[in-house]
Amino acid sequence: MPEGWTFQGLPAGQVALVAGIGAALVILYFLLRPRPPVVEVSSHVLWDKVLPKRRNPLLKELLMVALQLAAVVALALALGDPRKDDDEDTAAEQLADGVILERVWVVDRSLSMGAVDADGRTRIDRVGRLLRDELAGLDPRVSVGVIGASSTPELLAPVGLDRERVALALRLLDVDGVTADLSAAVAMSPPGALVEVFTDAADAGALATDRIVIRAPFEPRANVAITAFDLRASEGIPAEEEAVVRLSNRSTSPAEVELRLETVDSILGQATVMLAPGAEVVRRYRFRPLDGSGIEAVLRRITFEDGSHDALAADDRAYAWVQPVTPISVLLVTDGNRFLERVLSLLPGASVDRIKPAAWSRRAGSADAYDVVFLDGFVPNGRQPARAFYVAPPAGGPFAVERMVAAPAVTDWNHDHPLFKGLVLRDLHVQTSAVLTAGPDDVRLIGSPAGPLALARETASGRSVGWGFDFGASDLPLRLAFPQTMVNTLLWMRDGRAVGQPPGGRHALGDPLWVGPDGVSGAPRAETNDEVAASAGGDDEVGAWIGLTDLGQQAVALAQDDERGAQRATTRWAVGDGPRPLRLPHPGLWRLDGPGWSYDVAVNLGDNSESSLASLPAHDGARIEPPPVLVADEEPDRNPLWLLLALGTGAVLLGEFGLYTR
Amino acid sequence: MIDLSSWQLAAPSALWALLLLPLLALLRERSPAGHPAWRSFGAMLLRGVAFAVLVLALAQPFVETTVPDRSAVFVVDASTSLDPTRTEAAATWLQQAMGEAADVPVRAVLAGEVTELIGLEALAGEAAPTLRGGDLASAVRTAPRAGASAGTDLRSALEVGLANLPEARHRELVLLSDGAATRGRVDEALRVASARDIPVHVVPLGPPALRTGVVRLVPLQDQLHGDEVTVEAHLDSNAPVTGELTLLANGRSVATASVGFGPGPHTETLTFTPDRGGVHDLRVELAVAGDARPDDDVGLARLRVKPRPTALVVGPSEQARALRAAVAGYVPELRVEARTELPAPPYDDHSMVVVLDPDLKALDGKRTRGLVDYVGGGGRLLMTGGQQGLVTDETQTEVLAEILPVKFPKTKKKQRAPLSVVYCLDTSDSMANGAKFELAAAALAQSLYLLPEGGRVGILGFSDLPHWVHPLSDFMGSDPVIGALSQVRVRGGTSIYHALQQAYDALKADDALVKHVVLLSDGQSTTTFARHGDVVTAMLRRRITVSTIAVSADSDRSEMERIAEAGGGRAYYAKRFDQLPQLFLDEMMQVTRTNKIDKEFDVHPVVGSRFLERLPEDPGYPALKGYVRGEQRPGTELALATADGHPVLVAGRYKRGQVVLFTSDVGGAWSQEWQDWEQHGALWEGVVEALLRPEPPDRLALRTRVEGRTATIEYDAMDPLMNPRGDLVVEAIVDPTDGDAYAVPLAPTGPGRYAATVQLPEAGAALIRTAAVGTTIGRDGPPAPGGELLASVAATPPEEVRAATFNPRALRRIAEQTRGLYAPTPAEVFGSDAPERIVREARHAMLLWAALALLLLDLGWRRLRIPGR
Repeated sequence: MPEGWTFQGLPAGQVALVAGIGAALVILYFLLRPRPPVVEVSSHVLWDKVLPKRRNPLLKELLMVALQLAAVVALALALGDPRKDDDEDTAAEQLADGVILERVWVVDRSLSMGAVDADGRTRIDRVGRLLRDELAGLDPRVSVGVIGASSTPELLAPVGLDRERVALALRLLDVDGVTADLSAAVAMSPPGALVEVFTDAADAGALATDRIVIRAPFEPRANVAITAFDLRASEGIPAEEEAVVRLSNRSTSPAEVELRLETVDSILGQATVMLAPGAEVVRRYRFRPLDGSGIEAVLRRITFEDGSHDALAADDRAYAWVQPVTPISVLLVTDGNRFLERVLSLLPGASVDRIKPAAWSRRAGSADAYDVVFLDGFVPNGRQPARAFYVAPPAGGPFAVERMVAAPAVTDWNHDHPLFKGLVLRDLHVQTSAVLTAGPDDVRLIGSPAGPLALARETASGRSVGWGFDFGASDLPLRLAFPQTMVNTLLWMRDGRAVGQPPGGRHALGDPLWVGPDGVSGAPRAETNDEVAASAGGDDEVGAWIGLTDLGQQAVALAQDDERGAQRATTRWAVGDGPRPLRLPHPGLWRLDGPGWSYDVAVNLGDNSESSLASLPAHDGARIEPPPVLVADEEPDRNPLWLLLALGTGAVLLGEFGLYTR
Repeated sequence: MIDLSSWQLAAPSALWALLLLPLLALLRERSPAGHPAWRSFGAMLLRGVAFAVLVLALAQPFVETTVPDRSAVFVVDASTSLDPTRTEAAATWLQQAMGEAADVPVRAVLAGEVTELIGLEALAGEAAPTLRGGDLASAVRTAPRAGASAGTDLRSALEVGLANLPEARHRELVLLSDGAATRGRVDEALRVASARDIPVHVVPLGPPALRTGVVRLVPLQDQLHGDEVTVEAHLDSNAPVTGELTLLANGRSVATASVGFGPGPHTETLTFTPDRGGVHDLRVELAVAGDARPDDDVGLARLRVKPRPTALVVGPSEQARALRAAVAGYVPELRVEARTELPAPPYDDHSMVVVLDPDLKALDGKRTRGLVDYVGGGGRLLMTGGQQGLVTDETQTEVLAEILPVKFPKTKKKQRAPLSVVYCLDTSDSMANGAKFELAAAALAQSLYLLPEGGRVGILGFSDLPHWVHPLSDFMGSDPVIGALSQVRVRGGTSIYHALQQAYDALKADDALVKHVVLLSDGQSTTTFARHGDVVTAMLRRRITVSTIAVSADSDRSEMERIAEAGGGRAYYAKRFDQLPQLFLDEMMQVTRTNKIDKEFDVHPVVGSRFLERLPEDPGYPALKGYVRGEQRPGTELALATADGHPVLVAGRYKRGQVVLFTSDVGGAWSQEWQDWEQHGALWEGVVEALLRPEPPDRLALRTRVEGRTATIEYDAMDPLMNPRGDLVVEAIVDPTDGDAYAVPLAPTGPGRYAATVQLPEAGAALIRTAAVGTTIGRDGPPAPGGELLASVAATPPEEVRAATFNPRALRRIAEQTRGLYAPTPAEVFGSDAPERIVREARHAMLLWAALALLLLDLGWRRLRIPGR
């Protein structure tokens, strides 16, 4: 059987058997043919003149046998129903012919492919259009598939002849994630296929081989990016929010950018920043304490000196949470203490409320809201403030006074205590001081031969300091150590309550967020009493439904009274008996809701490598010409071969009968 | 029985060939062959029937039958998450399904390492590729599992399945999976299926499999060799399990523990004692019966163990002995290796390097660079002064000079060049009060001892006019100068510029390499710079520098400063005359460029210094007889000082290390009284302790996050007032198991926050050492916080291993989105109603058989012989 042909009816063996049996019978019949009788005559001269010249009758018999054999073999072959094989050439045959019939298009879906070219189209749009045009002109024999290269490769359209599927995949091409693993995407291609990689990765040239072609139909573009943005509350003094924004000019031209820090409903501030080509600058901004919420850093206007436009918008925004910080507040209860009043007034960003001891009862209820309450020669009745500094306390207070001492010699300072950290207090002169009685948990701060002059106390309910002498009765106010001691006091008292936890976490877009039924792995969760997102399965089914909400999109929709839009801001994801790697679609402020918990997260790009648009890979810009459309020299197989064989057999039958009758 | 009534003809026009049948009769009639009639008639009949049958075959007869117009493709999840139990469940379901499928065209896709069609090769030769149940189930059972790194990509599997569905009006896809997808967005494929009206039936392969593993391994870093090290193994399981946990250090088992935990996280603490200092590779293995995913049962980490402290002491043997004796009581024992010369680098094997009174001029570039690198990498350097004077002039010592916490003035480069100095002393009336002139003269005389050999000195007194007290001549000792000064009478006004003119005239002819004028006055000059200042500029042009000392509040400071500025010298101001000796000394030091001060002085401690912690409140410091004078650099930590604040014991940081400088000597001529001082040992033990003690990472934090092979390092720093520090230069040294250590800068990413990402090795862990190595402001600003933070990181197992084992909700959603069935039986899938299609079955084959048989019969008839005929 010639190559490319198969028997669709009887298998080849049976065809041969039938043909063999038939042929054997034909030959047997031939051998058993009747021979004409031989008659002896005296002379054949007369017979020669009467009888016509005759050919050798054996020739006729042999011819008939040949026709009979032909008919038998033809019928046997017809029973086998031979048809041409439609299978595609092997890859080796394809190559030998110079035609590659399997083609894979690998499309880079990294962030930089969202860069806008001069004509307003993104790079990935350009690739999609280019490939749809090429698809239309592709030889119909060519199988083509599309693989999307993002952090993990995805089969967007399997390799095959389904042009519609490929066209759909090309129409839906979009950027996915941040980086692209081109090697893994190329590895997904079937062996032997021609792979065309559409990418703007500068190092993609290393992938090129004789079967892998790099194509980069793009141009270098200018870009300024926010490469880092974060907020933090100061745990020290003053109590402020500090924002750090890092900007990078990834172009060859100087740029001027307008940087703005915004919340959902207000603009916190804006600044104009100049960036030299290739420069990266860090800007720090300070704010008064804000309510906990999300903040967005936005590059509102970017101007390049050479007239270029910023090509990539995705890196012009960044998100962070405001870390709550408690403003510094001090309550001074005194009849008048100019040293204390003055030094407290010098504390930056602190609000100092001053009341007389007689007015204490009205303020007692709110005393715990202050970072520290200075009680100057006064001890309140009843409940003491949680954080109190007793200056020259009278007897009967929480710090027991043993006796008064004149001109005590100060012999020891507790430099290990936070109150005296970094201070040098030699030769302090004190006119008169109370000697305090130290309790079992009290820490001696200042001592004399008579006993402790200052004590610190820390209990479950708070912290307090007993200072045995009035500041004015010493030379402490004249020393640099005095304001520093007050600062240290505030820091110690505020320790642990100055700042709160940011309302959400931080996450890089390219990394998966591991989400399970119990929350996000490695992240603190906020317990909620909200109903779990409705489950489509049974209550006892493994796993849970997680709601993922784009807070920015939701806020915009709510601002426009678009309830449906607000609902569309939330998508549902099913998680199983353990964590699931969730890849968020784009940067922003997000909320995840699970059964009894929620988690807010600010998602930023993380990896800044995709912001460099100025360099492109070494590539073959020309399109790969599809193989020429061959003129079909074969008509479609409308008449199967068995028909022709049967037709031939019929003619042979007639012809052979005609010979038989001659 | 063949029901011919149901036969139809596809090409009835072929029947026209039957019109050729009479031809056979005609051929027989006109046949001259003389065959017997019966034979020829029979042959004609048989031939005719054979021909007719053949013509009928040419008409392509067929019968029409109806079959279900449906097709199906099975997509079988073959990822790592499928254990043998689930695989068997899938194979059993498939076998039953193939039985139900009967004649329905079916294909199968295996979603393993590579998504591929299965089972077609075995069926070549059949009319259409179909699968047999046994073949399919066998293929599923024996298919190799995908590697864990391949993940579970249901989207690709669905795409391949959809692309390979045989054509039919009713097509369906059956997905057999546990739903634990880790790659791809299956929604895209479901949209295609919905658009093409292809339901996806889902056969969930559950229940949840046992998932247990090691989340991370956290050893306590920087313990001392010989001490026990605690290692925390963080474990996790989705079910109660018991097992065995084994800790290996450098491939050797060092600890085991039986564990029982779960469901949920659990921390197990193991301890072991390292057998040496340095970096160790740790590995913990969790063995739990029934764990189908052992890939994550291993945790890796790197541990740094500090070796027992050793000190390399380099210096004169008597000084080394003195220091060794001083630190003899240090605990833990300090092993001292004493050398008289500094060996070649590296010095990393030593906890600290002590260099006693080094001759810095003789140090080669390799050794100075070695010391700098040693300190930069975290080493501790203690250097003392002495007779060598800590001369940092040479080019090769400049790098070392930069890391010292004291800045020393440059001495003369090659040899002391000849110096000529002229002192212009105010001898006006005002100098008579309170013995001012005498004080000035005495101060001047004291400073003369700094004059080098071969130097020349002149003293010019001036009031209204200048006069030589001691003409410019070779310096022969202080006595002649003192004698000359004692003869001076103070009277008259103050005319500075005439004196300067005279000094200029004397010095311009002098051939000394260094020519200098020191001008002292306590009053207002009658001549001003505005009118006479050109003499100073002329002096500078001839390289004659002028320094000025303005004494008392009555002096014209601004005028004096103007002169000094124009004269390229220094301007001093002394409120009182008793400050003059120091100023003269300072000036002479600047001019003669010598650092050593051979003078007895008292030491003043800085209260609260960590270097003096071992000393009592009042240790009674003996006097020192000399020191090397320099200026304390900003940001360094002073512990002992002279009365005027010059550093005696001072510490500073350089990158990851520390340098302590004692500007006097140990065991030398300057510190003789200290040898017998009872607190001597306590002082040096305290210095060593403070130097070797790890700097507490106050207000510093290091966080690491690992995803795959990418580790993110985040460093947090705040200042003592708890404000974020944004001025730091932060660096991490990554030390992987296999490979060389390398440095990575951390960029600022937030207030007081710095971060970087690194790629980890595929096998093994990496030790990250992070520290602030400088500031963006430089040495003029607050120093960088000390302290190195360590963390060990290792690549995480593939997502497939860490992810859930069963996600039925996701599977149910797939079915819902495509209107497919969830957890159907095979009968439910193939028993559902489906449209039918008409199929044509050809019947020509039997006609061909008949024609062949008739042909052979015909040929046999021709040979038939009737006996007797």
